Amino acid sequence: MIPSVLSVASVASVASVARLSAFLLVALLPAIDLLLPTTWKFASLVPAIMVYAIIGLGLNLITGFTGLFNLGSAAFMAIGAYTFAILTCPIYPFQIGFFPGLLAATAMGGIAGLLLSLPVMRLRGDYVAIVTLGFGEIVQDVLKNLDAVTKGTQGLNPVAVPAMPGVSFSVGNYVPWYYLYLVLLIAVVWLCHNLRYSRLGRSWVAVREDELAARSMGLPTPWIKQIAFALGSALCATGGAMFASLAGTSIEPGFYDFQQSVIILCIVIVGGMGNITGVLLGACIMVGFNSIVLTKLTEMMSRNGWTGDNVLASPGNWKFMLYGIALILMMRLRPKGLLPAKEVPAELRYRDRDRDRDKAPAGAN
Amino acid sequence: MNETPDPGPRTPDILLSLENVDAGYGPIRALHGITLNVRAGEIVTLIGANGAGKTTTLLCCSGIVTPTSGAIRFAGQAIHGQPAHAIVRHGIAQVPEGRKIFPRLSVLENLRLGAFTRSDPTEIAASIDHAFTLFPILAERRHQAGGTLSGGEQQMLAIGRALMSKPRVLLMDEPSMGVAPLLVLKIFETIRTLNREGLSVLLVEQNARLALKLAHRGYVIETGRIVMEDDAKRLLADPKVQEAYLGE
Repeated sequence: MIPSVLSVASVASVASVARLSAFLLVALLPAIDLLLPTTWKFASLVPAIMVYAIIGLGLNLITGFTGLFNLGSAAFMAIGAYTFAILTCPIYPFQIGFFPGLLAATAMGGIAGLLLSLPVMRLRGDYVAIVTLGFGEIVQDVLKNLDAVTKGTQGLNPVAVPAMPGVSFSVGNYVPWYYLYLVLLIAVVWLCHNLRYSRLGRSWVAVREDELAARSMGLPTPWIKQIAFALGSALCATGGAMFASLAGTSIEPGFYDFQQSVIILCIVIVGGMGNITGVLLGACIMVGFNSIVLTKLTEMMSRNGWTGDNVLASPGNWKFMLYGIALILMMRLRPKGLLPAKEVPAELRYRDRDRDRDKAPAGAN
Repeated sequence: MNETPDPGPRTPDILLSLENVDAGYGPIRALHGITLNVRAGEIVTLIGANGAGKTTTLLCCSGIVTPTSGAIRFAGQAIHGQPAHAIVRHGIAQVPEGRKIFPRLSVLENLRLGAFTRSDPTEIAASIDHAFTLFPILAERRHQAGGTLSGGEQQMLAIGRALMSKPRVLLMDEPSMGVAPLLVLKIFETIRTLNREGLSVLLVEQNARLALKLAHRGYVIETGRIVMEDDAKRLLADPKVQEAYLGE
């Protein structure tokens, strides 16, 4: 008895120490970054990771929880970015500012997701993937060709930056972005976690596990899939708007291509589908590799004069090869993601909550 | 002149009825004019060979398969053509063939999903307690993922989950399939208990002997048609039934 109690206690304390230190590291990163030598500073690149984490969490509602294979998440990112840009760019009369723009982009993503879910809700598996893939291409083409509204391949800029009293958001200073986006990310994590353990979240997982059984339990499965699609797409659009604000532009339609969708999908898959911590880890790995490791590697190589006509001299040229190899290795070695034991920690946490919940009515009586 | 008015056909106690139901999958017709009924408080069993249409009949009742013609009534109200999730709300619950529990959700989450159509948390908690009283093993394993349970335990979970919607009729498809013999007896015993508490049951079962011993009445289905209908005891003694389904 005693050893097992001890081991449970130590496991719990190891987990909480790990969680606490991770939290402190993230909270203090901008300060820690000051101590690093200039060539090793990277905290300014972290807000982009947070944005992708939010987009990944959105896709996770659709693909991770509900099991709908969505290959068009970049389209919703684009819808968010362009809605935000149109509503805040000085060339248009709206200029509603960052936070209203963010809300509007989220709502627009949700509406687009709901519309796309109409044809999708009757489909399963591969067919959902095909429809969403097509949708992704359509959105790109529309944005590219709707010159009068979207300025085609130029993109819309400048777009709004957050406005908060006493804080100045500018391109040169990443620290306000860092903390604002951290707060938004925490809010989205909190939302997703609560959704998962709500009645709705259970229904999503039930649809993923066995749609027929879910229907015979009285679950209106088309509607449940639609809600997942709408909420997930809304979060992807939130992320798109945040990314546009961070970049200062809606970027250009070609940025939201199939590769972008695949990167977002990889964020969800690499960490472990349906696992919120896994998605955060996936965003760190996928975007961290792209925007931090590769950037630093490129800088280092150019400092040492390793540049030239050789295509291999630019790490950006072989990043997709690395992604490919990484995905093959993942599927071979850890097909369920880096954090595959997702249900177990969830259940351990759930257990305590349930115990309290089970007791509550008894105490009330 | 002081005759009492003719009450018409006496059917008020019929809870679930199928009248001339045809159904199929694409071009294949699986049911040819099935007529059967379940009265309130009855256990009715439907026996027949593989592919005779037993499961299709149940799926028609639960709305997963829509009949191409005929009528299905529940407590007098026509329910054919309604989607499955709406039919659950009338008070019909299904324990599907092969159990179909949600393997990666915990036992408790599986049960809570069964109560999707209900909203009062105290009543739902009472139903969970009821399921745990019927099957104490589920209480022990409440935080375990459903997929880690044994076949029999999964069957218990599937029954418990179906009961969570507070049905008046329970449709059971092969509850003995893939379940250890001792647990089969325990599950059948529970069906009897539930029936005494007032639940009506339509039972489809390979093990015809066990099913007929439990049921009040039985129907025999052959290639999509009802060929016999009688008291379960009489069916059990019928030489044709014995030869075809009881292996005597």
